[in-house]
Amino acid sequence: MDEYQESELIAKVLLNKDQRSFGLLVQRHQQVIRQYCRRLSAPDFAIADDLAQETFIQAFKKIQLFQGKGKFVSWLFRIAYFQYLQYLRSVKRFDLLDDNEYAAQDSADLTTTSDLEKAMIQLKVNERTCITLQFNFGYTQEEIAGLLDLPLGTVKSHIKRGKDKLAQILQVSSDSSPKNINGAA
Amino acid sequence: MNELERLLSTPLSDIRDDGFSLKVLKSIRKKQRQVFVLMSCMLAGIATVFVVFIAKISSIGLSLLTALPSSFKLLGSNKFDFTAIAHDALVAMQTPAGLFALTCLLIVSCLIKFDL
Repeated sequence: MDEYQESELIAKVLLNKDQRSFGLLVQRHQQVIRQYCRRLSAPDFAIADDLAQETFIQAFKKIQLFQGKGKFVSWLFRIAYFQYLQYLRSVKRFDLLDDNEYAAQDSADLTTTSDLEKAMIQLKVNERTCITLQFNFGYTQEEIAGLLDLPLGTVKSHIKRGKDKLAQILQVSSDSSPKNINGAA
Repeated sequence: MNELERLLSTPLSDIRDDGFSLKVLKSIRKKQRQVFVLMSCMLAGIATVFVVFIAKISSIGLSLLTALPSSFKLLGSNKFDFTAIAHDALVAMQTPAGLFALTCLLIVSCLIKFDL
């Protein structure tokens, strides 16, 4: 699988709509995208794989829009995020989109997930997304802002608010590195 | 890095491919087939409507052509009814024009629905 450069595979898909090359791209990125979709759609894990699948289908259809400026996987993260927002709007879950209220999720039956995952469920989608992209996938706050089309200040504020909520839920400290949250709105 | 950040940086659990990439490719092929079938149906629909439209127009034209010589004769006698002919022509055009408009509407809505 690794004998092909990613750019080579993308070019093949772009020029010939080559499904074999796209299959290799899916194999290469399916794990991170599915992990991300699970985190986004928690606790509704049933839709996570559908969301991941739709993300790759959209990527295949709109590959000509990938400008090659950033990483391909970042573009996939972006598609997955907007797909999930579209899904939330379609099922009218505006409560998970708004920032004005604490998300009231019933996590009592989630006995198989870790405490962190249970706590994550209680965050808003944007808070969860920003935190996941920063801490699990190593993106900087500037990169996250670009990826999600959000102002940097908003990203900082989502991360700070999310971390505060998590610290409160998990009863752990979150204030030992104030530098990280200095610019938060 | 504080306690919370250490916790947040815990790697997410591994997810095996378990046929996921094959499933994605299958759905892509399925969608492509759907688009192909849809486009074929649309083209067939357009062709049918077009044929009906042309046939109607030509039959109206023919009937007008056959009616005109005798109509000219009638003109002098003030028995020629222009409004009747115009009405007939409009009635005959209604169905194909309606079908044509509906097909156009269908095509546009399908294009929007399937994001083509």
